[in-house]
Amino acid sequence: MGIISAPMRGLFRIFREVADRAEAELYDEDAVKAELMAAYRQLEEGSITEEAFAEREAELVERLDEIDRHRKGKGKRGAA
Amino acid sequence: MATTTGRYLYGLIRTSEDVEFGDIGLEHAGARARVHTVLVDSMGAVVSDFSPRERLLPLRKNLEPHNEVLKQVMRTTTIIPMTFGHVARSDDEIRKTLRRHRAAITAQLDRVDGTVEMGLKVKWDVDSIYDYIVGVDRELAALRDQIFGRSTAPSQNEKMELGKLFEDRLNRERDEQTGRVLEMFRPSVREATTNVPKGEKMVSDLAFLVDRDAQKAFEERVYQVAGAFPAEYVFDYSGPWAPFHFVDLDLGLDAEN
Repeated sequence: MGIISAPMRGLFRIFREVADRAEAELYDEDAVKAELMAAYRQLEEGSITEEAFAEREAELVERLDEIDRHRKGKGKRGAA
Repeated sequence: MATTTGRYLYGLIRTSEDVEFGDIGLEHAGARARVHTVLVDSMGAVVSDFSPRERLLPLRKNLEPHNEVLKQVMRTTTIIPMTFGHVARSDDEIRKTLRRHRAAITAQLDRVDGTVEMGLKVKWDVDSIYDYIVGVDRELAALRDQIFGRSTAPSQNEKMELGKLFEDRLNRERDEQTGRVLEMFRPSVREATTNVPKGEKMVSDLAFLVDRDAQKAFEERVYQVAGAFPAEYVFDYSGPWAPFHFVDLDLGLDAEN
């Protein structure tokens, strides 16, 4: 049970979360990131194996890359 | 010109002197970054160098050092932990924010000062949660016997009724037992909070704020409390953790979320 993964109410919104820095259509990306954190929590809790975790992490990173490509493909509407 | 090196932020501590935590931070420029504090009066932000241009993902290689830093800091002092992924552009940005929210931060530091968080999960160690709950609830057992005990097959409605009653009883049992556990811990903790239990065999998922020097007593209490419950109840405690569940600080300047 990771400390980082515990539900957290004390959000410091002042510091930009790198995760949120990109544009608005990143809700999908946030969901994938949440899954990454959840997978790591499961690893820490011992509810998934090292192998299963590695596989899961690789799969989710691939999904993030896809989202990234998709976004770039759509052009940089309102890009910062 | 502004510096191009940003800061990755792990959390906030109370200190009036700079503190060094060693090269245990997230990777920066090819090595584990030095973790240190950025001070404003008696508040310190625990940070390491980080390039704001780098893509920061919640991968194991980043989550591990984040956790490790919090654990390391918790050995000596209580930290208000940040969730993974917070960066600032500069020390200045951090200082400004600490100043602006001095009162709120101080209040939270007061709240958790000298404490650690301990986790406690209570589970039913049974083969079938359905059989177990039916076993402790006469009304449920009677309905089951009535529906399944006759020669005709139960109707869809009857099965749904039974399913609903089962859910109700399962939740009621959870609430009752969780209340009992909380009551038994109340004298030995500062604060307690409940999380929604995940998984059907989970009875309670709890977090306690415990005085740093009362950790041993807390652990002993876990054994005492566990001993007062039937053998089907398994108690798993964990910690010490940073007080994630007991920090309520929304500085809310940047409503990106």
